Amino acid sequence: MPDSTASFIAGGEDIAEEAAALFTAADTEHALDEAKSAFLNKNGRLRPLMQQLAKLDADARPAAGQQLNELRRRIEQYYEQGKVRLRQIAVQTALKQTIDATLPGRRTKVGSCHPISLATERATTILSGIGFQIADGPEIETDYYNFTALNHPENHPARSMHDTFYTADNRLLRTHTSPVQIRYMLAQKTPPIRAIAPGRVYRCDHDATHSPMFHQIEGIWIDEQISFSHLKSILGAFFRSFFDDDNIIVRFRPSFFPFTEPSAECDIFRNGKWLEVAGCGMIHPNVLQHGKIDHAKYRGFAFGMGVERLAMLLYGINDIRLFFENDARFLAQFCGE
Amino acid sequence: MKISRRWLSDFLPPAQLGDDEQIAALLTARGIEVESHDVVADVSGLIGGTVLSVRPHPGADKLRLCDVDIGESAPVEIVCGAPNVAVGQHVVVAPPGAVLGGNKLSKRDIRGVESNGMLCSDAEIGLGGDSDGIMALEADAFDSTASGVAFNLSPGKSLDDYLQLSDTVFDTAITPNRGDCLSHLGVAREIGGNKTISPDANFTPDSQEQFKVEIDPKAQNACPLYNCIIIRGADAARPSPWWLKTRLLRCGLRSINAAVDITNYIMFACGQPLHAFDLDTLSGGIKVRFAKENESLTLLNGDTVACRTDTLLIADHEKAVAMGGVMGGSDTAVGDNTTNILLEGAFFAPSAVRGKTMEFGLTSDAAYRFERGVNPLMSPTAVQMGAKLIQQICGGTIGTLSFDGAPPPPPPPIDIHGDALRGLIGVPTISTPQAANLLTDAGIPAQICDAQGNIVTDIENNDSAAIIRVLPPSWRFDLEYPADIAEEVIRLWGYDKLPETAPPGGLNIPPMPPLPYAPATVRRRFAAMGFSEIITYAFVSPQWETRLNAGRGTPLPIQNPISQDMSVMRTTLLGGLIDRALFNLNHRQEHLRLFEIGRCFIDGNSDEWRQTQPLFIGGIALGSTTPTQWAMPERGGDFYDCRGWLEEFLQSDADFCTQSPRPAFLHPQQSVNIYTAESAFTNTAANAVATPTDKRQYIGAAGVLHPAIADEFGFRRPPLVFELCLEPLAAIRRLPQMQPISRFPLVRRDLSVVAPAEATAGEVFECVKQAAKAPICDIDFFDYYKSDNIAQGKKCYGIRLSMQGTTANLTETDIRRALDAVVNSLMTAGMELRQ
Repeated sequence: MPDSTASFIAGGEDIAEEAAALFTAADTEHALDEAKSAFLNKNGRLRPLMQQLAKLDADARPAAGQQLNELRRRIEQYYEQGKVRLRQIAVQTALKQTIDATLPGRRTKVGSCHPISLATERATTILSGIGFQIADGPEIETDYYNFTALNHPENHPARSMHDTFYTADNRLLRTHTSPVQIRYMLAQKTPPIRAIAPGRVYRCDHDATHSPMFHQIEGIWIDEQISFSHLKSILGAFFRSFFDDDNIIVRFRPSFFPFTEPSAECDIFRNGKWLEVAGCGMIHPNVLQHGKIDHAKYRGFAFGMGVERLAMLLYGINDIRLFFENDARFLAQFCGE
Repeated sequence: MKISRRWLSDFLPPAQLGDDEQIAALLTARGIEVESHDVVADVSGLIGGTVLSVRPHPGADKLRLCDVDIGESAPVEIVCGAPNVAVGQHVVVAPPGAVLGGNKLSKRDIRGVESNGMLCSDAEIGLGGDSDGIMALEADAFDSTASGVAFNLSPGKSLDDYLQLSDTVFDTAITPNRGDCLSHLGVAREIGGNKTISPDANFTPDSQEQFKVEIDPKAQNACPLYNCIIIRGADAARPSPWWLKTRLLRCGLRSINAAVDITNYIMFACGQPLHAFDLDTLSGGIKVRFAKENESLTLLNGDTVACRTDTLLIADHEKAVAMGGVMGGSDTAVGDNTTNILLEGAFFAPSAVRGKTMEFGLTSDAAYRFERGVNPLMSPTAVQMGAKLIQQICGGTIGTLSFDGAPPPPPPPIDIHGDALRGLIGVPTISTPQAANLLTDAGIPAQICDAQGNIVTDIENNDSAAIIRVLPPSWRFDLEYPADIAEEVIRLWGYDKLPETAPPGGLNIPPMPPLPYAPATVRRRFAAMGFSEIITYAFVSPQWETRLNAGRGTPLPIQNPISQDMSVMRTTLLGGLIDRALFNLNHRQEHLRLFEIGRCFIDGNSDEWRQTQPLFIGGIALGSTTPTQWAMPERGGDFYDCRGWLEEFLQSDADFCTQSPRPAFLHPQQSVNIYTAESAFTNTAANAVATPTDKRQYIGAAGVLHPAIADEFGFRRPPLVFELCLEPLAAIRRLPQMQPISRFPLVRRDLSVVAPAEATAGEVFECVKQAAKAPICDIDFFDYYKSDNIAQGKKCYGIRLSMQGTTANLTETDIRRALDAVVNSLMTAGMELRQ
């Protein structure tokens, strides 16, 4: 072995040892990168060896070249090993970071929908599924839509059933959602008609069990073959779905509403009790006439229910005043609904 | 499956077969979807010729002159460039006037010699192949005594029929219930119904020779009927004649040899798969039986499979020779040296074949048909037709039909009441006799019965027709129940004639989509932002109204109020919100965010209630922005929280504006007016409705409650409030239209802008926005401060510009150019950049 070759190999070994020490000591990615460039860059520590290589005898060069490549490969290996070592350290460090996971998490407070809105949406979702369109009407109404068109003749004693608020311009605050029946018939013109109208209604009655403003949901279905028994089936299906209780039984009791004939109070049997939940009946021909519906050809049913009543039964609310007091602690109970 | 028009005409009188468009439309309407139909080989006027002599062309080395007999008094001279032209060849001649590939040929001078037409290659006339040389007809093509189908061909006669030229191929998609349509006969039946000509073997055996056939009793349900015929002395390896090759080509099959081609031909013609065995490899006789566990069989495709006990085998007396209805074995297949053939045509039950190709990983046209149902009555005819065709093409003598078993009994009749039929399909006008006639004409025998089930013969004058009794044809495996018959009737009558009838009660489709500003949507969105909904009385204290002065006119008084506190109809929701916020404060609820959705009652002379009783949303917030917790410091809300909620709620549907005076109940500085943005009404899909004439409508305001009002109501610190009218927003219909996302890297650059004291952030933002052009895709304010380090009174804004190429990576030049535009715009507006 010529001296030049021997010194070449020895030089290479020295550099390899030096590199191994440097890469092992590197404790950051940056240090690793620095070490890599110190050896492998164009002007790095391998450069003298490359220059030396060029000066070697031709027959010694291939072996020496191979040695140099081997050295380069070892340094790259040190670098890769260093990276793996640093990643392992990082994982170990991360694992040592402990916290108290029993402390509560960071929160922004979520809001809530009013139980009246929730009950209304629950009802409209069920009824929309049956195909009822959602209709709407004004809260300040005229006497015509609130009473006359609904077969309450002027001075008829039936009007005294409602304690009506009158506005200064001689209109009134609707006492029920039924005026929407007429408005919807007039707008829709031809049956089949299937609509519900949720909304606020007003009566001047203010005590522990009555609010001067409350909510109703009105429903009508007008077609050629609609019957009183259809009404009972729809209400039964509705209440079973609304209260999520397949055992609910519906009972009709004869009653009186000027705008339906026959008329009924609808009770449901739930949790061992009969509860009054809706008023309903077959739409009076006079009402159909006011809605410009051919009452010789078509007939239909109507129902109305109080949302406060439904919400109280659904959520176990025991005082109607809670709805309008709007206590944050009451409202917060409905978050996430 | 590919269906050839020419082949269809084997089974249908020409009058029954409409033009190509009619066939395609009819089949598609019947449920046999025609995916495409193409005229193939658009040629005409081709005639047969015989090459009498070939000599060099005087003017070209590669061309030759041929004298061709085309049946005229003298041969004609035709120039030909094909290397394979030879004396004695029977060739395809396109004389002047013939049409080739849609072009009409004429006499043509080719290098000084007039050519009387041309000799054609198979590619030129649409028969595939490569056009390296001309196409030669069979050597005995013009020999009227030769075996083969009689086309009565001689030089000069048209080749149209012989070569099956000028055809249309219909590519059909056959649904799994209609296995009967996996053949030309089946498709012809769908078109021609009972006018379809059933194939007839016209079969007379040459000998009494039979082969022993035995169906194992345990296999009788799987293979109720097995037929076979011996053909002796045939040359199985003969190439198929051109007409046969062409027909298979139309179905996408390449010719192999006559014996194999014929089995395929019969299958594509009438749906019955056949199999040809080399008779000399069979020992003893045929046994149809189930395999023993792991019984080995090497199939035609080279696979050796281990059978299971539910694998139906065709075996001879020593070994398995085929998997029943699926694939033949390789050891017993017809080969080049086969002279004696056993041709099999059996009926395998669908249940015996289903799943077998999957189980053994095979592809098999036969199994494809058997698992869907093959007409059990067809097998004797088909095997006789096949044998006869083998004899015609390959020669030999035919034995007598050998068989075991019998076709399964016909399925029971299906009764459907006329009313049930009409009720099911909803076409009251189809009478019971009419329905029965539709079925019968379609080849599905149907009788009329009265209500008691007695057959009614006098259909014309009989009102007692009540029930349709259908006798399902042997090829229809899909007719089992009355509903299947109803489907047949409406299918034959025409799905396109089915009326649109709304179900009883009509259709009541709710409006779509849920509108972004519908009350129910708005409610959920504010609840998600941490607000709780309240409901307050619509009649309020007149003092509230006066003090808040929302500028909406005098509130409407109630004639008979319950109390003075509830004596006027509200014009704003804020009174109730403030009242309820104070109520809760008094109950030490200090982190409060409340909202109400409700009507306000605004003085107006119009009877149009919507204008005077509009729906509003109002909100109030006080206290810390977050509930008390260990991991976040408490921070009192300010104007920017309030603005942020509404920015989130309204997205780009609204503009926030500080120019105009704000409502009197708001802090005159810490508040903002809100208008609908024009883009809110234009950023919708083309089919969205409602564009109000005034695109920029006032919808409300937001900010800090006026400190004086807050003080009077009893707040220690003014709450944040907002109120928006939902009516102008109700017209907004949003349907997101996806914008493509750039896959190229995102580049971010931050600018630190020093603005004069009087410049507002809105002005700086507008300045940047106007100058920011592609590739800038996003502008964010990430910092704002006033600092002693900056010149007196000046403000500093941190603005982040995001940039992204849409078609390529951004270059430094692209980035620089976009940035410079923004910087220049800022400089012009009197602002500076900080380094």
